[in-house]
Amino acid sequence: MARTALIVDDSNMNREILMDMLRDDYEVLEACNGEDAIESIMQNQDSLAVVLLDIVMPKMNGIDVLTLLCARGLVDRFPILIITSEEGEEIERSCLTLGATDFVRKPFNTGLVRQRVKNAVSLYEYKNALEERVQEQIKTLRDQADELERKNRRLKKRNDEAMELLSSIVEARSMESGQHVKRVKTYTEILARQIMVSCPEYGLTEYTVKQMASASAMHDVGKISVPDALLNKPGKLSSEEFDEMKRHTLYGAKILDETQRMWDKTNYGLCRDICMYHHERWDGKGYPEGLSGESIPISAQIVAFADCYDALTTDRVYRKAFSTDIAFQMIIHGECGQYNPKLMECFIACRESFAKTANSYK
Amino acid sequence: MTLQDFYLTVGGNYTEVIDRLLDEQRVLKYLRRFKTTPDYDEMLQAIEAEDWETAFRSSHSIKGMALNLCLGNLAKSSSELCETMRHGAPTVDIAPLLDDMKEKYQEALDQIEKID
Repeated sequence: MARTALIVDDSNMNREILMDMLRDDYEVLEACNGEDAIESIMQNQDSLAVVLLDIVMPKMNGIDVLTLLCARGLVDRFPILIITSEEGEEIERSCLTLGATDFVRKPFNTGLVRQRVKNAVSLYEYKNALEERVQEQIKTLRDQADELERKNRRLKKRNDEAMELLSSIVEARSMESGQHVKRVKTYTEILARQIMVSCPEYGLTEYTVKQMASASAMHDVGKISVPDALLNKPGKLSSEEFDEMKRHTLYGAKILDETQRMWDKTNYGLCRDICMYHHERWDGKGYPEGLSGESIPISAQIVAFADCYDALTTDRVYRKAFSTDIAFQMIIHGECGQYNPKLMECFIACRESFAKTANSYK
Repeated sequence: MTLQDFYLTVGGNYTEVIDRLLDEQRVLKYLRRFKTTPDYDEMLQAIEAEDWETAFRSSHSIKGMALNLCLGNLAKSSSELCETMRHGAPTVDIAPLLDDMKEKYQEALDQIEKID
């Protein structure tokens, strides 16, 4: 605990009176002018409990000392009691404004001054201890926030890995190229970012764009529940077979529902919407529920573009890949179903980025 | 002379000074120390040299000590002289005030000598 008192007064006798008053409680230092006071304060600022400061002094007066301490942010560190024979109220106001804790006029009563010093020191010790505790708590909170952030990043990475793992199982069972999920993620991110800029009404942010791209990996996870024979059947599917294949959307949603506790709420919602609704179409002619317009979640609408574009631009067992130009034309002319006109504008704006992505995987 | 009698001669108040400085021993110690302080000589030299800043400061110190020691006559006299020099060269003739202060100062020193 700081137990040093500094007495600043140009009169030896006044310093002696004050020293006698404080020496039982403090290690007492003296300064006989303002310059020496500043030097002593700078040297002893960590142990200073209180400063008793005269006003009229040689070299640097008490007001100048206070002004300098105020500028250096030291008036909040320890109490400064002015002890002077100056009489006007103006000088008292100046001192208190500059940060002096108390103002005592000569002649002073030593018992009262001693008590004033004691009170001021107690108050500052309490204040400084509180500030120290607040600083400690701020540091603890910051550390905890950093740790949470680290855990959050790890969790997100695990989520992404889990989603990619599930998707890769689907891919491994199907005849798809093996890069389908990665390309769909890329297309989703490109298109979602364009929508974020061009259609602010959807409220997308850089963060949600990234979340959507990650969640898009899960769009076909329901295919795990589709029988191998059907999933890898060469040639056209019968009507019944196609109906079963369509159910992968429902199976995907069911898998998400059954593992809901593993996901955070947002991820679960996004993944489920994408699994369930990425084959819905704007005019209500999609599946499984025949939703139309904006009742189709925006995430699923975006992945629908990505999934369709990738299907067109990659080889299938029953046909070769279309060129990126033809795939683009097919989508904008409604050959793959109707899409949200606003999203179509964004898709058109992304034409080159989509083509570049498709070509980079060839 | 007792301390009580001393304070009657210098315009002070014994009860008040004991209340403020706690006991007779301390008051005596400070009064004897007062005799050795350099401020009075510094003030006279500064007035002679027309160094009004130093003269103001020294007279201000004497006023502060006189107030603390309850030397009423000297405190009043030094305060009046001090104020004439607060803003530099005095605009009034300070000779009468200076003479009065010299008298009160000497009176205080003489009376301190007489305390038992």
